[in-house]
Amino acid sequence: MKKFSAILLVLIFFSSLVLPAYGYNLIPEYLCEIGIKFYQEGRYTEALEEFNKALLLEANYKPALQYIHKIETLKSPELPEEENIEVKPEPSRGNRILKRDIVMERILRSEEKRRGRVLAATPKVIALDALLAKVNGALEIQQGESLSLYITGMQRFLVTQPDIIRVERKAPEQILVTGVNIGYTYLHVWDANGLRTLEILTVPVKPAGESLEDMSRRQQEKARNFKLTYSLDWSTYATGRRWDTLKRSNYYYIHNLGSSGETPYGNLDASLAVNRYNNITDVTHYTLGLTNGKFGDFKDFTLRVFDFFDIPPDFSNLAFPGIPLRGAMLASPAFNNKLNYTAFYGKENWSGFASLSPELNQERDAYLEGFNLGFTPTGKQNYKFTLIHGWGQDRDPALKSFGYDLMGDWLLDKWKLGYELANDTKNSANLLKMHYVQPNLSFNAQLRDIDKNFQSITGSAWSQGQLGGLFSFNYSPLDKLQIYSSLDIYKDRLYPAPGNNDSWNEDFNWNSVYRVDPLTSVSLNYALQNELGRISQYRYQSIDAGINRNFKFFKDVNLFLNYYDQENTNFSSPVSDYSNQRIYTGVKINLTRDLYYYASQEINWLTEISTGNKTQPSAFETGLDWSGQIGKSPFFGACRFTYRDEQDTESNLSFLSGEDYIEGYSELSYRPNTDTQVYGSCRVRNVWGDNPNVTKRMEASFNSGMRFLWDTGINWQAIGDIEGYVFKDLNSDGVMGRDEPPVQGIKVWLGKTKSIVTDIFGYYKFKNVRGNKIYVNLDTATIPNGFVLTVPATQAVSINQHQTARVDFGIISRSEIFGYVFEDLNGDNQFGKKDKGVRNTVIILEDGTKRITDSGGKYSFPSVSPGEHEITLDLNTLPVYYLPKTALTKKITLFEGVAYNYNIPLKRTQGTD
Amino acid sequence: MKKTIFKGSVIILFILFLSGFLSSASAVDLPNINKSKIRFSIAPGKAEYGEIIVENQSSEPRSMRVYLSDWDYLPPADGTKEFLPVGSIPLSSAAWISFSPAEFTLSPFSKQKVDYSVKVPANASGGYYAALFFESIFTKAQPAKEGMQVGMNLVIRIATLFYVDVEGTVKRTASVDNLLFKKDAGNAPYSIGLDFRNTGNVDISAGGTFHIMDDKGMVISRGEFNDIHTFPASGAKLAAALKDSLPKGEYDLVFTLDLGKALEEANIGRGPIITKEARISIGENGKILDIGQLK
Repeated sequence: MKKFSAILLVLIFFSSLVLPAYGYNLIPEYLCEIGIKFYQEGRYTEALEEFNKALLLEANYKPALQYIHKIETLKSPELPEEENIEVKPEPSRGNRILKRDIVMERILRSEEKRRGRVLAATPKVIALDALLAKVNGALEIQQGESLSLYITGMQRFLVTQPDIIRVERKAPEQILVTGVNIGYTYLHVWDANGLRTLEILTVPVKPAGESLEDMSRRQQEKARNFKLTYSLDWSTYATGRRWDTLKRSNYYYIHNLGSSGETPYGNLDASLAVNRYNNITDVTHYTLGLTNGKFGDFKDFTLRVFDFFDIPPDFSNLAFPGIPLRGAMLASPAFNNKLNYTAFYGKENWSGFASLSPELNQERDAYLEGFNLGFTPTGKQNYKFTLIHGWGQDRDPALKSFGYDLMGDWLLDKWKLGYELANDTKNSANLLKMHYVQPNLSFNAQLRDIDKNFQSITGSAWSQGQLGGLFSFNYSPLDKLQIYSSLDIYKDRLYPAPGNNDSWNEDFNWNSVYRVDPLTSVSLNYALQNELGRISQYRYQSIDAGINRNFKFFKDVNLFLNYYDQENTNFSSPVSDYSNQRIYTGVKINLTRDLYYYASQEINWLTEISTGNKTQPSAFETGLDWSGQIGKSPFFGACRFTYRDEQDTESNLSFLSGEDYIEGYSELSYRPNTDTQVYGSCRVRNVWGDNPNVTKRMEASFNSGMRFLWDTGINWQAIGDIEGYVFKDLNSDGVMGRDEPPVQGIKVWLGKTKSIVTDIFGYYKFKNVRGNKIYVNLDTATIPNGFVLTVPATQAVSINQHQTARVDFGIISRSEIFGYVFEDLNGDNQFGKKDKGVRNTVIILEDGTKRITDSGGKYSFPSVSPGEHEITLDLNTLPVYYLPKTALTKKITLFEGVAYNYNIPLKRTQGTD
Repeated sequence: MKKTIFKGSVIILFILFLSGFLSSASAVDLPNINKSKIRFSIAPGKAEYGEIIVENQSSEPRSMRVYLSDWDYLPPADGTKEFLPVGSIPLSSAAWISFSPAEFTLSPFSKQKVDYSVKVPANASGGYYAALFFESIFTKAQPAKEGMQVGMNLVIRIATLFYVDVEGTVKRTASVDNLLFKKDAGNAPYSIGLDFRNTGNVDISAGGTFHIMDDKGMVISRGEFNDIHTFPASGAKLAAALKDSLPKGEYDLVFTLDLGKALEEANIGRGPIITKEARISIGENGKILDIGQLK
């Protein structure tokens, strides 16, 4: 207890010593803070006092000394002045020095700019008079940007919104204005001329270069241009016992030449590929296509000739799995996209690669043609029917000549159902699909029944002979947990288990990942392949668990550790039975910005079940990996060095090659812009091993190539006509109807230079208009009074080659008779603020139409035809104590588009209401 | 006592009736318009064209009537408006506005486009104003007795306000005078007031700030004035309160008044400002000793 008390007392003693010392140390800092505030407000005398106080407490307190030096410098006669000397200051030594400084600053700036750097902290200096003369409206200043204002005879200043800009007085006649928050403020300055005000707008920092809008516009314009692309990829592979005995075993290069651009008939593209493989060179691929095609009213089609692989729209099914063809293909929507169809014809196995390698198949006399019809009655239903025909002497005689496929999909809220039925004229294949989705769960089910003799038009069918179902789900019960699982149960009727045709196979997978925190995740997986119903019967199962963690230990470090427990039982070949426990772990460390060190170790504990042999195959791999830009140059590089050592790999079941090696890889590419790239790479590997089956050797591969895109600047614009009508849009629907009359004499503009006036039929036409998208404007100055437009005055129109585009403009007028029935309280016969409206009075039009005045005395016939009209006040509906001051009936001549105002003043004769 | 109970019952019943009426009225889904204010700057003799979309947000069809009206700001110029018959104010632009259609029926959850044009006469200058009303009559059936219903008409209208500036002729100017700076009691805040008068030929929505600076140029206090809305030749009171106490000394009262709030709201620019200052002298306990001239 005594010891404890003594320790406590010692602690208290020391802490009492520390606290005053700590407080004492803070006083100069505190005084300096006050001084700095005064300094920033331009109150230099008070600032000096505070800095000197700080020095009394700590004689060499550096910040105080620095500020005192600054103030003394400011008080010296060498004061800075403005850069734009539009207001002539009196000549002085200070001016000369300032001019010299400005000149020096300009030289420095230009020098820094030349070197690609900018003097960030140097604010511009300008005189207030010059600024006020220049600025019309608000002065824009970017956030963080500063402007030094020189004000002759400045007395004081005021910022109305101090959160928008920060203003510091740097000298008696100079302030530094810095943009802080986005918005407007006023800066009042009092000088020899009195009060002057500058409006300042702080804006966000503007990105360097062109704006997004400009970039987008330029890219759109560029997108229409014809472009040429060229690429070359060259590769060679050499191997030998040693470096000096390396011999080339493979050599390969490919030239690709392409062109694409927008034409009045659609987007045209063409490409050609020339390949060389060892000693054989051939043109392996050439194609020509038109997408988004348009020929008159035939629009949005795709046409491709020569080589093609992708057949739109998504044309691949059980009967036709999709293969490269050389021929022609046409795909197009029809009937407002309700239908789409594709027709094609082509030769199979066209690939020129066949001629490059004698081992590969030669060109064959085998052809395919087909037709696909799609029907989309609503956005939630889709049907497809495919007919496919194959013929030719080199076709496999076992293949059928025709194939059919019918597909259907329905979207029902969160469910999507689908089926597919295929037939090769003798045998059928059936597929039933179901998909369910909600935010954190998706479920798929697929039932298949593929006849064992069913074949696609080109050969073996997908899942041929299988009867079964595949079920899978993706589930995220928590934000951090993701689970995927699948189960495939099926019977293989094509290659069943010997002696047991009815056995089922089960494939099951479970994958789960839990993200403990943003840097750590753990996983747990299980796989079972219980294939007892196939010709090769085996059961394999594996369970594994792992952890992956990123953390910072001086540098970014990634660690992973996985453990696997695997077991394989092969009923057809028991020598393949094994059990294995495996650990795989590794680390990746970021040494510098783009340089990584990595190392991994794999250790297996393998037991061969049939022999009882136990081995420990293992592999260790380590290396360095770097990739990135070389400085700010257009050169990019990559280097990798790898060392791999495998041990105890003699067992056939180790699944390790037994090769030890050292490998070096380097790559250099030159990318001056997005359209150009030249690259070269080299990989050298020295292989050896303690496994007797491994051949000691050197391997080397070299790759190089280039990509180049050239914008030709050539733009093929369409030429067409634009015509249309200006009409009275009586129903305001914007569409010219049969009974809607034309309007003559309205001027219509094509762009800003060409105009035409509508004729007696309201018709106009511009001929031979060149362009892709053209704007047509109605000259609103020529629209008669009282008319309104029922469509936009400016309309965009696409020009199609040798077609006539139509743009109509609807205008409508409304003629109205309205007015007020009122008690003329001030007797001036005019309806004014002091008069009183009389309600429930009936006004009758000559055709008998009646209107009753509202609570304000207003009546209105809102849509009356132009011409002669007559309105009558129904005296019987007027309160008895009122007498009209005008005639009961009024004849009116109403012009088109005019709202005629007729007020009826009343005089009170007796009583009250 | 019985009378009191009777009176109380009548009042409660009346309140219940009103609340029932109001709740049924508020249950009406009002038609919606996409533009509540339209400000144009149009050269003399020129026109502008546009459209307003009226939307029925209810499951009932709505019969709509469209008509023009004049409007004016009511005292104390805080933005409250008075709607008047066409031709009631000298700066009415109702005669320049055409629109179509004037009557239509909106199907449930449908929209209707109302096209309009504003054509400015060649000899016009300054600012002109009008309102385009969209009016609908709702007939609400209220169950009364068994098998009977009582009909009640409810007229609801919404307006689009038109502000038309005749391009090249606008004068957005104002005068301020009669500085008021007073303190009613020892702990009461200072009241600051100015008389504002629209001396230009367009509407002005104005607001502003005041700053109190000491002789060293330090800002001692600041505050904001109320926003005011005026038509030409009309006036308003700008008022603000200063809660901070002022130590003894001489101060400058600086006013910065922004006359362009309406332009800013329409996102078509910013208006001119008026800057005024006055010298004030404060004695012991915050007592006002002297108020200088507004300059």
